[in-house]
Amino acid sequence: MHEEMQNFLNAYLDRELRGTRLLEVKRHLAACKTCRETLKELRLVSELLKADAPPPFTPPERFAERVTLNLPRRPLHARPPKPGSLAWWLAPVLILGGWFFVRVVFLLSNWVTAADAIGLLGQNFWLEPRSQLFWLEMARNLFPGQIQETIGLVSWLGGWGLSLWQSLSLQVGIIALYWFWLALWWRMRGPRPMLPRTAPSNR
Amino acid sequence: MTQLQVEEIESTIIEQSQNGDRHAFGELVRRYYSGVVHVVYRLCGDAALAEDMAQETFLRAWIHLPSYHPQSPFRNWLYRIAVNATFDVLRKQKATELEEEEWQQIRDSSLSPEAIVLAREKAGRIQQAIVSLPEAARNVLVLREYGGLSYQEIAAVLDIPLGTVMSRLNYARNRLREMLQEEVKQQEPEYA
Repeated sequence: MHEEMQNFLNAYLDRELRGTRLLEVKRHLAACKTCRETLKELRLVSELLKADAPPPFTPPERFAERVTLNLPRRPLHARPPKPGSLAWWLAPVLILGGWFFVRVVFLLSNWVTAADAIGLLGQNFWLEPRSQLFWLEMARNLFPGQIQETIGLVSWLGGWGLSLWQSLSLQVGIIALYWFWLALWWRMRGPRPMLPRTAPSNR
Repeated sequence: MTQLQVEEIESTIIEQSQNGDRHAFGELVRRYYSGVVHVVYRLCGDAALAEDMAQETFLRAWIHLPSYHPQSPFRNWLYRIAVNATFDVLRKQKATELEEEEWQQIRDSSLSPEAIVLAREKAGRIQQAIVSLPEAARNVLVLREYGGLSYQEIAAVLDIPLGTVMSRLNYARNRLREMLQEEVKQQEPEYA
């Protein structure tokens, strides 16, 4: 117990302990004179170090001038894109891509169903209801979670595609959202006010 | 000026520096020079070398500034560069001795000549004790005592686990307690 507490005295001194550990150390210090002595000495060491002033250095103003004069050239294109900017582009692109994919799948399904209904496809094994269920079962066994979610999503989206008017207004809405998104992004990355030549120092 | 405004101005300065604005970078140097040079001085124990290393730190920072992401504080990022730059040089130099001339310019001119000599000796012993610590313990101690970083920040700057920060700091302070027994005893009545 005593040895273990010794390891936490510095953290206690630096106010880095929280919760039950802090209470434990406090309780131990109240009972243990040796640890109180050690803590006192550690505090004195810390204060001794902080009280020791460093030698005088070059004033910040002169030092900054020296550094800026010695700065090497840096290619401007070296700056990688900011984190988040990719997401700004990627998010609307993914939404549009996803929507496009769903629409194409619906369209193709409608065509195939219509072709089958008017007998253009003949007796095709792959389009028989029993075979379709067989493939669905197999896919469900392979990707159980994803298939359930996809079926749910497709059913939900299917409701949207019932009428042409609904479908059109939804697509217009998505395009408007996309442009709003881009406009917002453009505004956020716009030029910032320049730093005044006599910027305040923190000294 | 509120803390939020200060942070906003600083992020603007950093962004301008990232875009190649040397004047903005000069402002960053002015802001962080004192902290960096102090930390480096405690790591190497040589004032002239500390200034050179501080300059090296800012030059490296300028080069690598495009890769800086504002998730971590700029100060911590600079300290990381400073620690690496300093130990790169110290590993090459090995021997580090305090230059006598650095201590010619003593801070408090009101002290008597004897007190100045004693103060210089004491400061020399403290700095020598810090420099004699192993590199791993020294950088944790210096970042805590002179950099003012929290344990979590030290762990992030040095890329080590939090438990390692605690154990290294324990080791460093206990070693200093042994090495600076006399100074600690002298300080005790002042403290009490």
